[in-house]
Amino acid sequence: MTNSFIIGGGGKEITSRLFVGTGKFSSHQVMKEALEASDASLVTVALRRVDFKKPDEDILHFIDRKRFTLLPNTSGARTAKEAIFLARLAREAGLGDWVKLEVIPDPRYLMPDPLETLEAARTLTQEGFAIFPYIQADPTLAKRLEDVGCPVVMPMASPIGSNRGLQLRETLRIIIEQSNVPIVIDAGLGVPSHACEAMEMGADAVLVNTAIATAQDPVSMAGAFKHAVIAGRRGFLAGRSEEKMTAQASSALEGMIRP
Amino acid sequence: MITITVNGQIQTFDSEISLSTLLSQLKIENKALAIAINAEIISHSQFETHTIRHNDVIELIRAVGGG
Repeated sequence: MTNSFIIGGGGKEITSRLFVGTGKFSSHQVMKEALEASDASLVTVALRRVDFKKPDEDILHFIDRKRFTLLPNTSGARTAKEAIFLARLAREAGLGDWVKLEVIPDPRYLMPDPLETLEAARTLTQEGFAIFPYIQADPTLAKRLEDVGCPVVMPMASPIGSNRGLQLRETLRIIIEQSNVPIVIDAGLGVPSHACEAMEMGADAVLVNTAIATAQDPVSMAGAFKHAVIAGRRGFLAGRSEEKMTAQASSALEGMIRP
Repeated sequence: MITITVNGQIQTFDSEISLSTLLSQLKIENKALAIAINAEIISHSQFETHTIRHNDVIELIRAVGGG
């Protein structure tokens, strides 16, 4: 199967290599239709205070949990302590124990803090969480997170919401080559071709939010990402043809006639 | 009379109340909800029995859109 892979010691089969975030959609209904069109496997949510003005407006009413696995995130956390608290709240809210770990002190580029992320990953893994850490494209950090028991590592392509694609291609390539756990390229994938290239490089999956949610037609864009991810994965498995600096004729010269 | 802070808003009640009473008064569905009181997470099994006290700082948390 080109489109499924296994996450974690428990061996849960993930049937789509596209993960989708639920932020920034114009409405819950548009988000619901985009999730369906994307055929995503995992769907991220954030944790925030209940809005007393809209006590009935629950995003979970628009996410079919039989079809999509929830991946609550720790967005907003600036320290390991804050992220650990959010992860524990997510579990208590019944959102499961798979958590996308984000520890981000920097508001301009939203660069995650590697030291706080590693510390939180270690603590939460010991508490039985499956931690999906969002990191800068640092191969050494990726290995350290694997060592503390993360079943997945999620390095960035470029800053969150920037739509700039695979700016960190070279270190992502090293991470993919060296990792023993699935690599999910997260953040910055702005168009389907970015996701396709990430998959062609050998990433196990990608996570997309802004590019779908803020497209002119989010539902159609979700479908485009679905196909891009499948195409990229098939291209990777097919084994690409070698890159060359000069032309190589596609039509054989043997039997050529000249006037 | 007790004064408490719920999601950053000050609220007053005539006397100490249970957490489940607070939720029903606020019309909040007790589903996919997490609660922290004074930075301690309250487990679902304690929602019925836990008593809200004067000066408690209560956070009611649930899933929202996010990436």
